[in-house]
Amino acid sequence: MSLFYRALAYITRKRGRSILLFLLLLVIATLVLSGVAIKDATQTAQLNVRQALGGVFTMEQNTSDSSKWESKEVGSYGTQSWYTGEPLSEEVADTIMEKVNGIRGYNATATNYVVAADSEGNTLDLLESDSDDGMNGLLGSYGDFNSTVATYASTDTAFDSYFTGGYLELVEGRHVTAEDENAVMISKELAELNGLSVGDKLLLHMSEFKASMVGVNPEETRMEVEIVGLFHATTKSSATLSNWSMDNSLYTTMNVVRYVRPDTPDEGYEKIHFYVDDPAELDRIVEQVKALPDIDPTDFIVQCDSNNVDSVMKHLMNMNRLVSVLIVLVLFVGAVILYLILSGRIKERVHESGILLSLGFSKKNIICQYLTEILVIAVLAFSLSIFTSGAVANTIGNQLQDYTMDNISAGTSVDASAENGSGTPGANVDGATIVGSGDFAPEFEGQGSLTKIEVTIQPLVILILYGAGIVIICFSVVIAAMPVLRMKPREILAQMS
Amino acid sequence: MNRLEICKMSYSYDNKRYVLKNVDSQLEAGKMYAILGPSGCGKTTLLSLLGGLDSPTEGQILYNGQDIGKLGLADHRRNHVAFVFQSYNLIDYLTPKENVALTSKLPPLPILRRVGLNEEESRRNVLKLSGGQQQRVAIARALASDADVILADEPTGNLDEDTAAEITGILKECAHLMNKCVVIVTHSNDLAKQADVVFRLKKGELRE
Ligand SMILES: Nc1ncnc2c1ncn2[C@@H]1O[C@H](COP(=O)(O)OP(=O)(O)OP(=O)(O)O)[C@@H](O)[C@H]1O
Ligand SMILES: [Mg+2]
Repeated sequence: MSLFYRALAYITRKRGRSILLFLLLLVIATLVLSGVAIKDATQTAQLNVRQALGGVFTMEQNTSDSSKWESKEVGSYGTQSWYTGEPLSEEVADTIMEKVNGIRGYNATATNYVVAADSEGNTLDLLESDSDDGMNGLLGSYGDFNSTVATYASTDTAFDSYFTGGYLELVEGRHVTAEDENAVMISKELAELNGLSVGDKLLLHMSEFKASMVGVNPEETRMEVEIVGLFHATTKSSATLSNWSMDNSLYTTMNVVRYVRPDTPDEGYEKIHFYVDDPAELDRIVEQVKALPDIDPTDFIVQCDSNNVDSVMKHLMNMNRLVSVLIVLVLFVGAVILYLILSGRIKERVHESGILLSLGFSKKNIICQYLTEILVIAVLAFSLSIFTSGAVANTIGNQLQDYTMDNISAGTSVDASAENGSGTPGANVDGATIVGSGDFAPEFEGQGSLTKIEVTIQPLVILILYGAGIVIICFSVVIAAMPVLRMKPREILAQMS
Repeated sequence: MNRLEICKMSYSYDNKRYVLKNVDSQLEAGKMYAILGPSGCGKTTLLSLLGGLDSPTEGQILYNGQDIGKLGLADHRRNHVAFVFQSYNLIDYLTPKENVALTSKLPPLPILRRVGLNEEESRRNVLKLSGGQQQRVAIARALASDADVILADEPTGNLDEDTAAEITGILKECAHLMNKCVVIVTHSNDLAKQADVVFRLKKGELRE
């Protein structure tokens, strides 16, 4: 009779013992597997946080030097002030891209407000939003002010913070790039409302209200642009004015924006967002950019706000460490309990071992039988643990996800309000965020799907569990079986009689 | 097999006091031997030495003229001897059928039938058999193995008189009909009467 037959007979006929061992191994394996999965997930979460909050740095003009400001009287309305320092240009951005490694891309933006019309000159119907709060009525009295839409000049809308943040997505056509001259991207909703599609032309011009203010003929600012792409907002947004909402906004080029605002032709971009390949390298890259001789700190401010990242990361790192400790603890306690159970089990079977020895079975054969029994149960338990740990890990993973989201949102909303206060556009890509330029940029609600944490049990981890589990079991069985291995034949007989 | 020879064998657990002293004897196939003696005189010790569970302190045991110490005790245990004990020593998660099949490739049912177990009993859990039936299984297991020597330590110690007589009968058949060498340690005079040769162990010495 083979030892496998005996092993199987023992497993199936001593069912209570088998089930007990099965449950023990199942619990240990589930804890370890889900622990490792959660550890992986906290690492993913860390990466997500870095990417959501930390993969970007910005460059703006340094407007603190009052000697670089100029102003002039504008008709009867008052004075208009503007900054005359070194403009933020594509050239500056390209120099940085060229000289510093690790930057994925950038988008330079400038905001303007224009009136948009179809190719026949009919002013576009705009989408109503529910965020109206009386400002529209108030400002509506200023001529065609209510027909203006936000226009964002961009060098590469693929790197626009709304798009990288997942708030906007391209649904048709293509992005606006630096190569474009007269391209424009509008929302799918606005296109549908006005019966427009990719390839159609729009006419843009300065609002009569503003034209009269700065003394320009609005007809001379009229410019034809071509729709190259349509976008769609994935979450709700709110804007100060209904007509300036995201759905009514245009993405276009600096060329177009300059044409429709001939009053300030020399103004460059307001802000450039740079995206780095590896968020972990952000600090290094920012330092390198700041050190470039081309970047005069009295002209430009280069910054990344890593405070939020650090505070969220600290929590995640603590959690990671905690999970590591728990895994080690479970492994250790598990191994000890396993050893105790196995040695108890084998002690209980000294008599049986004696019988088998007296029948001429070798000690190796007997130990192999015990080992086989336990390994069969272990393989079954480990296999089931893949499913149970998947369930456990997902439950905990979802909580981790919520936790991370809460922290990212909390981190950014503090940040956004701070930035609102100082009037600088926000640089954040998640949570309740103000991106773009100025105080009137649309504000998006926090977006849940952004940092999706996938809690998966990796095949490699399962393999390691099997490997480590089998090693621990073999070790425990051999140690536990020492009394049997050491048993002298004479002592066997003592057991027998 | 022809014979098991004990040559000038002595044994001591502690190298001070000898349990067995200068034992000299011969055991042959086809005969049933009984070993009698007071408790603690070394009967079990003698049996264990014959069975290769330990080696003698002095002297030797020969199987067909060869020193079992040189042949290898494990080999001797596996191929030449089978034990039957007072406490049956069956594997409790195996059926009688499987217990007999443990060391044998022979079909177990005919052997079990021979010692008096029917087919239903042969498939039962061994713990659900009576003591006598369990001892029959143990004997069947010894018979099924290739062993020429059956060493029985008080095989009827736990059984009532009638059952003990039946078991003794079976062991006698093993010796006479199957040409085994059966060595039985016992306190029972009834059993000893059935034996072909009776040894008495006293103060470490073996006498016929
Ligand atoms: N493992 C051992 N270590 C030391 N002394 C032992 C050991 N086993 C038995 N003895 C001693 O050896 C002597 C013989 O023991 P043994 O078991 O052979 O007696 P026995 O004749 O079988 O007795 P019983 O009829 O009670 O079974 C006894 O004095 C016993 O105390
Ligand atoms: Mg004894």
